[in-house]
Amino acid sequence: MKDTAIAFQQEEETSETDSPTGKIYFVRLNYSEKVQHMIFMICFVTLVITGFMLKVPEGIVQKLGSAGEAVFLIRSLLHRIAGTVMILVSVYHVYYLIFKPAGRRWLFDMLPRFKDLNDLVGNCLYYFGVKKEPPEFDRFCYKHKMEYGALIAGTILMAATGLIMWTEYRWSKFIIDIATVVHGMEAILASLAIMIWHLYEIHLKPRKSPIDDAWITGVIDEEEMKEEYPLHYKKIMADPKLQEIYIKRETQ
Amino acid sequence: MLTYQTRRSILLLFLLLFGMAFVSAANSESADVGNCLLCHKYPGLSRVDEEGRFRLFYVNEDIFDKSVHTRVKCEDCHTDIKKIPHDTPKKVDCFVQCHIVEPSSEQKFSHKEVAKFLAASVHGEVAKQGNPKKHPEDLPSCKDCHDNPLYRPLSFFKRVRPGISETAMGRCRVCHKKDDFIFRFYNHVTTRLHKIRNPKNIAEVCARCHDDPELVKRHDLSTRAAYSYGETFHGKAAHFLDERIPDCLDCHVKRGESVHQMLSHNDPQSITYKTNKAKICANIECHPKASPKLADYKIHAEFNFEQGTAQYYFKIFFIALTGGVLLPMMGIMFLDVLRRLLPNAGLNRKK
Repeated sequence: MKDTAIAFQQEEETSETDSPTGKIYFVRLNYSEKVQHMIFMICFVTLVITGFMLKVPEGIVQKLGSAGEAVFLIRSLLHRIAGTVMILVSVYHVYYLIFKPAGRRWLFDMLPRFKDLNDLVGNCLYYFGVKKEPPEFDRFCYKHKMEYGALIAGTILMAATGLIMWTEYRWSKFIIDIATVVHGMEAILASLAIMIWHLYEIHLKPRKSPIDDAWITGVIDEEEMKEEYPLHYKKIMADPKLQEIYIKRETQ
Repeated sequence: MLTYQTRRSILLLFLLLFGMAFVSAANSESADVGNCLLCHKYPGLSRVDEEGRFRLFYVNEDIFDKSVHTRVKCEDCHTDIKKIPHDTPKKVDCFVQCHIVEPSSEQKFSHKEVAKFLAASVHGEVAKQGNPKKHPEDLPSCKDCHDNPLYRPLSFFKRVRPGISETAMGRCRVCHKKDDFIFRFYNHVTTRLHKIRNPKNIAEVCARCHDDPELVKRHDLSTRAAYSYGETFHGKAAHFLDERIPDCLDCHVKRGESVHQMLSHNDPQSITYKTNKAKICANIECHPKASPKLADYKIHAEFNFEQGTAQYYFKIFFIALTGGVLLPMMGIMFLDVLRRLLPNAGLNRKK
């Protein structure tokens, strides 16, 4: 595999692989996955904004007067609506993973493997310049798997603690206190992880900056595919069945 | 010898002056019969007292007229002032009788009953067993919690809003002719239909003593009550000036009783006693579906090691988790940026 830097230098010189029917693209997210991501993202942003509004300095809220009361009533409604929708999308995602062929492929590709540990070590050695080549990533690399795992754990925690606080009359104050701490602390962790990690890894890193539009288009071009997911690229190119699933042509 | 005409003129002049004085007193909303405002209306009226404290003696008539004591004569509270100019007056005793007649008993009004309630309450100077409490000087008297509160009238026409409903006043005028009476009565009743202070303000009053670390320690109290209230959802909403949220008094006073009858949580008669406190949460206005479990844990636990050990460990765990996740992430990000920006740099790489 060619070095990332070389890929940069050769970017303009490299001719795109043009098939007789046009330039080819590789599917990263299918339609259902794009919609799930979109709804989840909107819910997440809404939850972060409406949740952290509780941390706004009291003096500012006090100055809003009666408008503040209305704003915080809407805040509380929006937070619950977004939380409910997020839980529903997550439940659908579980259904998708089990009952849809694309979902089962996603789940299979996302399962942690020993190779991921090797990739992590290999990637760090590459970063330090000890190894000349980075590891060859499959459809999902160790970073994606860690983030996906964190997303699942975070969603379960936030949903459970959120529901506890929503149905406060059923629980002991002890449980509510712990739920409050966990909901608040996990919210900080999740928000920072998304703001620092996800935005950098997916959108802001050199080459992808300012935004990777795969979350809207669902596809990436062949150059990026070869560079970021070479193992998956090789698998697709070697298997016509996978080509049917993952390759889209420009004219299509 | 004065002529009849002269005597009549003097008498008329006297009557005119007396009449003017009377009209002037009647126009004044407050019961300033002793004309105390002659001096006390001046904003700069002040001095440094014997203890070296700056004292302001200015009475803002507009504000005082909107207070619940507006009909009480100055000398009804400042009973030792008999002449003008007066000497340094004694501190006001809130339990004296004033000239106001309580309409249901037709007796002169006094706050004396409150003294009995307070003496039997958790804030009384004698414990229930009859032995005097330690540090009685720490225990509150009237003015530690009360100032001269202002009326907070409400309008209930069409929707509830602060202020006076002219529509309601119009209905009063059908039977009652004195506007001043209608205004006072309206203010008195609607102010009493809700709280005179918002929850934040009430918590601040309690905090004067209950958040004082020295006092908390001296009286062996389990927590800083107002601080720990501030850490709850109730406290958070109170700090955002939400008036619907429960404050200290809503939970610590049995419904239907005076706030002065507050009892210790160790007293089986108290609403905060361990077997009674579930009723507080399950109140129809709060959490009517609340299970008794809701109140079965330390309501005022601060999230520190001593008072909320489990919460404390959860907090520590999440701080460690956040650091443990984000720092390696940021390390990988940093290395990734470096590698992309400096593709040929490396520990053992030769170009």
